[in-house]
Amino acid sequence: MKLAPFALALAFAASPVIAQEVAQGDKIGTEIGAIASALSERGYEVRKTEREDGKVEVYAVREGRRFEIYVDPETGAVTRVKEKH
Amino acid sequence: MERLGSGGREGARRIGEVLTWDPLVRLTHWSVALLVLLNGAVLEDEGQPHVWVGYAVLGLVAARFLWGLVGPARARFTSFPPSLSAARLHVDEVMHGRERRHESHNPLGALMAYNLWATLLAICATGLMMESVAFFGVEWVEEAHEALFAWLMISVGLHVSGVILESFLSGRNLVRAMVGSFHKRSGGGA
Repeated sequence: MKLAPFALALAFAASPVIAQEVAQGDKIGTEIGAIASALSERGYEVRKTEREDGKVEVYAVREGRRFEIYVDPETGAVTRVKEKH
Repeated sequence: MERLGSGGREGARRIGEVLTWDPLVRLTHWSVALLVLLNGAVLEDEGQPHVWVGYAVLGLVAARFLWGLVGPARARFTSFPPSLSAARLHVDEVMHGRERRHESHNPLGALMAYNLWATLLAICATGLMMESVAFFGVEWVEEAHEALFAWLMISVGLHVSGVILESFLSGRNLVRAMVGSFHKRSGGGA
C-alpha cells in the first residue's frame, strides 16, 4: 500500500512530539531555565520552580497529571519524580 | 453529659447564668479549632494528611451551616444576622456599660462568627484549587491560601479577646457556654 511508508514517516516525524516522561537519573539541566525548557520539550507544563534543600523543585502538569520533579543542580539529574494523586 | 429533666429552651441548657450551646455547635467549634491547630502547626503543608484535615474542616463547617438553617433557634443564622448597625449599637452599649443580654451571639460576636466561617471556607477553597490540575503549582493561589490563614490567626486572636472581654463585662463565663457542663449545675434553672 502506498499509505504505509507515509504512515511510517508520520510516525517517525511525530515521535519527538510524543515525548518521553522524565525518570529518576535523567539529566535535564543544571540551571532552572534549562530544566524548565527540557521539561517543556517533554510535554510538561511547568507551573512553578523553587529551590528546596539544595534541589530544584519543579511543579509541572503533564496530560492532566500533577508532578513534583526534583533535580540536582550539581549533576543536572532528576533525583525524584513524585506524582500527586 | 445529659442532665436531669429540665432541658433548656431553644435547644440549650442553662448553667448558672450561661446558656450552653447545643452539642453540634460545641462539637463543630472545638473540632475545627483542633484541626486548624493540627494543620497550621503540626502537619506538613505538602503532605496528604494536611489535605484530609482540610476536607474534615470543610465538612464540619458545612455541618454547622446546615445547623444554622435547621438547627435549634439559638444556633440558627436568623438569630444572629450579620448587621453592622447592630454591631455599632452593641459597641456603643459596651462603651456606656449598659449592655443588653444576647441569647445567641452578641452582634460583634456574630460578625466574628461569619468572618471565621468565610475565612475557613476561603482557605478550603484555595486548598482544593491547589489540589486541582488547573491551579496546581499556581503561585497566587498558594499565596492566597497562606494570607487567608494569617487572617484566620488574627481573627482567632480577636475572637478569643472578645470572649474574654465579654465574659469580664457581663460577668458570665462564655467559655463555659462553649465547653458545656461536666460538673453539677450551679443553681438557676431555665
